[in-house]
Amino acid sequence: MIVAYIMINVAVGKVASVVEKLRGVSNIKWISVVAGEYDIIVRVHVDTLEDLFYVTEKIHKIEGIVKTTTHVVEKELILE
Amino acid sequence: MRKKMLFYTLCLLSAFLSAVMVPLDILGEALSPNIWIYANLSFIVGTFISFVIVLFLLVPYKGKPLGRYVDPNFVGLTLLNRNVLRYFVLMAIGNTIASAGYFYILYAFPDPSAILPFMQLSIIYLILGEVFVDKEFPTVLEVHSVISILFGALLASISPSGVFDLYGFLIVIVLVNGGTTITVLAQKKVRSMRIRDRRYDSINIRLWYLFLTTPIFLITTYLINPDSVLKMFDVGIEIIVIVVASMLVTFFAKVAYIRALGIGKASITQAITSASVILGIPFAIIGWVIMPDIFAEITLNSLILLIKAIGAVLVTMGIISLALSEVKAIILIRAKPGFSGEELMKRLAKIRGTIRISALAGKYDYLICVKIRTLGKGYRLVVRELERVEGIEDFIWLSTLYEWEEI
Repeated sequence: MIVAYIMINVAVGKVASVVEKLRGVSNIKWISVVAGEYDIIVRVHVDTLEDLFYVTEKIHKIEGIVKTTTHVVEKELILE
Repeated sequence: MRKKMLFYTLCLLSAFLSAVMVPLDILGEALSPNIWIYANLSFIVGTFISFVIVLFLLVPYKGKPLGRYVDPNFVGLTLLNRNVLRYFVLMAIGNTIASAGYFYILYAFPDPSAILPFMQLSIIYLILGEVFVDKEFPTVLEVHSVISILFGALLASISPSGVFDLYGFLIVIVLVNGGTTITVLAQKKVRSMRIRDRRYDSINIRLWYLFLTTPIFLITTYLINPDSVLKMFDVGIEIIVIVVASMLVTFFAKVAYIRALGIGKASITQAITSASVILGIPFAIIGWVIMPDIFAEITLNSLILLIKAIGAVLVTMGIISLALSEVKAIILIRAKPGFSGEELMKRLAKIRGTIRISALAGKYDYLICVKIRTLGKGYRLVVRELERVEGIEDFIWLSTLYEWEEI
């Protein structure tokens, strides 16, 4: 399984509607609305890198999303 | 948000079932020849029922075992491996100590609304434990919550005649809450461990720690009074029925509690389940109205009722303060070249509040998720620590405002 984080910048006033649409995207397992450099960070679980491409395609089509930055997870430590 | 809702639902379900459990135990204890016979029967029957329930939860439904609907991490009966065994033994020892105190209190105070507040005081141990590990003074909010819960529980547990029992209070403080704290911390540790990329499920945790508690408890009571073990099956069928009902309720109360522990912080889980303090009052009234000979008399003295109500409000205020103050954040880190990534991850894992560390390919090198009680602690325990870590070029802190997780 491939895990990736996608950092999203959203147009002003569109966060709630974007979150609602992100919840409908399969493979998105976790959404966090944050204060700082990005507006939303999502965690994606996919089987292949090609699947990750299709997930980012779906995300790009959501109205209100200005920019995305994808980070693939290479290694992970879960402490809780 | 869904995760938070599930967390609160599990905690409140556990609280409700705990409030049902106490009057059942009071009834069973009153009908038994002595309290330790009832206690031993509870463990024997409880272990048997737990095995039967687990077998039932193995039945497949729509392609997955029924237990998966209770806890998504359940895959079947999981035997204990060497890594987790010591934590289960710790849980069993804690549970034996807490149960011995609980059954004594049950015998000494046949009033659910007096017993339940007593049982909530282990939250104070959990908060003090976190303060000790954090090596810094508790925040004003933590002090406020601890005092509120402590005094609230004391006031809510006042007897109908207005008497406060110091001996009973000491037994609860030392045995019930001390034992419960050991069990809760060991459960939390096991809940965070993974087998085949899954968390340890609450059903297996409940089954195995009960299974290990039973012999330890029987040996303990045998040493106190051999007849409590040798004559434990010389009781009427009505007691067996009560024990079965009590253990069924207990099983699901514990499963809900352990499942909630896997989602939220131990002290907050404990705090919310303390809603059983309030839920115990109607059960105490119902018990007294139906069986006045068995349940303690409920006072009609308005002053004592007011004191009990104030106690319940104080406990609730403590709960709300703790539950609302938790802060979550994501920290994105850029690493300096020339430092070992493996070592850096190990160093990041030692920072208090860190719950997940991901090494990334992209603009940032690491993403860490942190969970702390207040924003001030976030600065002192996380940011200042990160500034000391060699190998970090820079980092940004993103406070979490809203979270959703597929569960």
